[in-house]
Amino acid sequence: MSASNKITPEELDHIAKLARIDLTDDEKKTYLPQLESVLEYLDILNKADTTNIKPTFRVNEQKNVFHQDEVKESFSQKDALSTATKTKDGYFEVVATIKK
Amino acid sequence: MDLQNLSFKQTRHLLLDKQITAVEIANYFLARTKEIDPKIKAFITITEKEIIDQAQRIDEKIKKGEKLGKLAGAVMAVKDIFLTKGIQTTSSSQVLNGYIPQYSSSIYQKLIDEDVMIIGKTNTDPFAFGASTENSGYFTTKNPWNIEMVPGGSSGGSAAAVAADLCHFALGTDTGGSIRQPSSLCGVSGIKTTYGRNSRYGITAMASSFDCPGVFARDVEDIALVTEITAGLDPHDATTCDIEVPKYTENLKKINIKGLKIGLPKEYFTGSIDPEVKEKVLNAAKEFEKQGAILVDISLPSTDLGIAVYYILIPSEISANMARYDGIRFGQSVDGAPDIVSYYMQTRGKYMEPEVKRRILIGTYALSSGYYDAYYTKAAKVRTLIKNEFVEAFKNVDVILAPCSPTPAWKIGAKVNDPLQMYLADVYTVCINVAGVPGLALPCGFNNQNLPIGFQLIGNFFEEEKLFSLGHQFQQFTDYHQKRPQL
Amino acid sequence: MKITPIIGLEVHVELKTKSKMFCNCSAEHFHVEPNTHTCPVCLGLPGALPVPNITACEWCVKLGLALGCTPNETSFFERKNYFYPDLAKGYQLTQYEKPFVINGKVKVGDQEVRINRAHMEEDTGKSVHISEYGQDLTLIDYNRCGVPLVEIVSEPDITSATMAKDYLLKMQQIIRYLGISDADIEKGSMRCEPTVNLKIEDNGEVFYTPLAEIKNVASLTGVQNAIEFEIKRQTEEFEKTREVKNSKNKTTRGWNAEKAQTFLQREKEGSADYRYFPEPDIPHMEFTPAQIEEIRISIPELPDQKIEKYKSVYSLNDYDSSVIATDQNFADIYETVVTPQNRNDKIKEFAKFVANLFLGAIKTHLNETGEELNQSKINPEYFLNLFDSVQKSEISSSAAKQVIVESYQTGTNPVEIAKDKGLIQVSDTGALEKMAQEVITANPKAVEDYKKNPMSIGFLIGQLMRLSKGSANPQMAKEILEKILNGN
Repeated sequence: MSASNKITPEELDHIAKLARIDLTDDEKKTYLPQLESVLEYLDILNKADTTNIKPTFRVNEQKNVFHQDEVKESFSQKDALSTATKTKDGYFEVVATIKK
Repeated sequence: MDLQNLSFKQTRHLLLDKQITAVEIANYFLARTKEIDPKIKAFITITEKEIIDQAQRIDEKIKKGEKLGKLAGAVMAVKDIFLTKGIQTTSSSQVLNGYIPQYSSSIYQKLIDEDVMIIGKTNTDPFAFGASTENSGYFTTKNPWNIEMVPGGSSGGSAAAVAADLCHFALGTDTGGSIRQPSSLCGVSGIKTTYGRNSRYGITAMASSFDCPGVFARDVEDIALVTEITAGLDPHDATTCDIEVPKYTENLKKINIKGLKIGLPKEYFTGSIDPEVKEKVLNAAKEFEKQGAILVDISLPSTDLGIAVYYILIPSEISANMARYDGIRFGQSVDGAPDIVSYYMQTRGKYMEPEVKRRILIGTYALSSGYYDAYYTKAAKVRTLIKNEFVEAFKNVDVILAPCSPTPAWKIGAKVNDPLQMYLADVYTVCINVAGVPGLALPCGFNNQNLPIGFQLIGNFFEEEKLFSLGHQFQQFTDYHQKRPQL
Repeated sequence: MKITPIIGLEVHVELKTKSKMFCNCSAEHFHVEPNTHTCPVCLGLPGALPVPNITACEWCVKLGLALGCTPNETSFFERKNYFYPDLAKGYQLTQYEKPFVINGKVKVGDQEVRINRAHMEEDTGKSVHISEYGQDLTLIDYNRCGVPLVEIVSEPDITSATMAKDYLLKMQQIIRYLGISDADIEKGSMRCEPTVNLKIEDNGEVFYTPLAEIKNVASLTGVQNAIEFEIKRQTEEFEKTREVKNSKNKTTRGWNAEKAQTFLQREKEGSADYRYFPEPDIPHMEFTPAQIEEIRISIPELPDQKIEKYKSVYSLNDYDSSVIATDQNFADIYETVVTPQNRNDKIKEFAKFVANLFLGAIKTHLNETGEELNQSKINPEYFLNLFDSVQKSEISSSAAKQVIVESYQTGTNPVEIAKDKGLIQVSDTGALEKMAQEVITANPKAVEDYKKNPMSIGFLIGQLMRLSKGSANPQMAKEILEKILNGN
């Protein structure tokens, strides 16, 4: 990680595609320098010596938290679908995911 | 009856003595909110029907002599990222405009079960991404002390609602300072609990390993009472801890200040700190010293890395947590997209606010192939360093005292075009989240423009009880928490 | 040119737990009304959090142990990020860095396939594709979303389509023995994605063709056919292009069962960047050595062990042993009848005798009725009685086959059935001698014939059998007739 990893417009497009976010040209113009300055700032971490340091992914020390294998009540179909914009015959409806 | 200056405890006495009904309490707060809120815009939704329904149920219980919940008589505002069954929950984002959830967050439900009344849902930065409410997809909340200023954020609406006496207490969340910083900027008290103390279930997730729900109130006593109810194991949140919840309210005088070692980390009093903030916070430390506490200079050397750790790890978690907002099962969506990829891109592009997009983009970048180790793994390792420094510090001191924000409230609009500057304002709060320890914000004075200044007491893991006891005693020998803005 | 296929298999198995992987909704989704087994967690609603299913995790470890894997000391879930409408959260919870179990092996025929890992993950929802007023739509049912899946990843040790099929059958057998899944490929509770390439040796040079991962194979023959097609396709492709494998040219191919062809779905590199990272919502998991031992003990005797036992203790042949061991229920019932203590010195004969009945008459009957072997209809005592009668030549082997099915159906002792049907052979020497005398006296011509040609004794035996109404033991009848006729 260093300033040489400066984000390019192509990279921004790639990241936006991965994140499934359409960006207008204006947005790209705004975000590119903003992201660059943030990423540049993040280089500060290079000064930390992390040799032999284990990463922390969760701050508390718990382990083995499970649910017992028993069935509890689910939503009714009506409740499940109640927040969707488009539904059909008990299903959620979306744009076709495959081309016929 | 003027209920404005009464704490919840005092109000409850009136209710139990039948000098006032729950409906009267509800109507008082409704009327006050309708009058004041247009000036400060703390609320996205005012739950007029719900509060009256709940008040009527409480009055009915009283009439029938049924057992009342611990919060009967209390009026609560709820940050709009807590899901409230049947009540619109927007997370202050256009993405969830009109979203009426079919389930409630665990904490909210626990409080409802104790007969609390809900006055409304408060404004925040969208999905709590921000430090001023200026990123909200609806409007910016104003600081009740000066409506040209930000209230802080992200839980700015909740802090403002408490500061303006529109409720007895308000729920918020603190991922990188979102309770402590607005508490400080609005002159109220607020707790960021230990990670895993309060359930996150049913609260729109920002960064899962950081998010800590908590509460704002005028004084620590009310905060202790609410936390006593909300805290504890939730089978729906695997990161909540099975550690007994102490009777916070019964132990408010438990900790002896005499001989108590209070650490003052030098990194929190240098650099860009506003001189008036520094002065008032050090005065607060001196108040403790007067009561017999010993002030100890300490160092948390990795503090300056906190922001970088934070702004790598939280966007990474955000980038995944925000993936569910696709408009299929809930939320806004576009019509007429030609294919599924365009559908996703258009929907998310259209409804997500700029800061939401920025954070998703940073996180996606940090996690993407080729950058993962340099960003994510590196930040997770530095997180270990920061956490260890707190653990070490608490071997030598009982609590740590520090400012919450380098400055008092700033002018609305002053930082909106510079995200990095906005991020850097979190410098005194984020490390506490990086480590996962609790922090209690308390007011400790005003600057020369009468803007509130606050400080935080930071405790070791699961030491909320100690913080509440010290905070409560501080509020016995100071009266900053009693001050009200002119509205 | 020498071609060796290199095949690795990723097998997904849907566990038959009662509840889903990360919530308490019912895991039942086959023929269930759409979106009736959902909750905030499996719908990926805002604020919902996953809590793992203990039984599913234990079963994953159990399967791993059965496959000879080593459990990781610590394991955790990770988020695999990609967008698809059937994936409610926009990421799948799976295990990447630290799966529950690693490094096992499975015997397939006389070869071994190494297992890289078995890890726990969650299934996605189901998509239904329809057209309405000329517009294509996709409908989503989230009942299957969050159902526990174990993924078993093999090393590329498989060298033919047949071996791939045998590997799958073996996997299916083990999974069914463990009782953790139906492992039904047609119903989708077991799914298989082969990754295929070829090692080509040509004029002293060695080439490896680009990897192709094959998706949407929905039957056992499909797997076999798809691999065979792919071997052929890659051979032809290599002859045309000479392209060899590199880090960027792995492709994903779909299987079209109707056309019996694979087709290019997508070029993999570049389009898929799953951005795995540890799931912060779920604490890590550690099974203690004692817990692992407890799981290990709960593993039943597996097919390989049974086959070994049948061969060494009962001297059954390879074929009988493996057919009996194919189905756990069948094998277990066989073993309630045949135990090492039975008929001590004659245990091998008894084992073979029962195996013949089980694999012959009974199996034929089961195939006809479509039933499974039912323990309550099998009385081990009856088999001992029948065996003894056959040993004493009271009942013929063919009669035994006849009566055992009726006994299975009615619950009656087969020896009683044989008596009722007159199938008991007379082996009483005195009675037979008496009848033999009678036959000899009544058939002087035949006696003459015999003296000229001893081979013609058949007629006299027939007469004796008729006289005894078929109950005479034919072997003894022959011996006694010969004794009298030869005058000694």
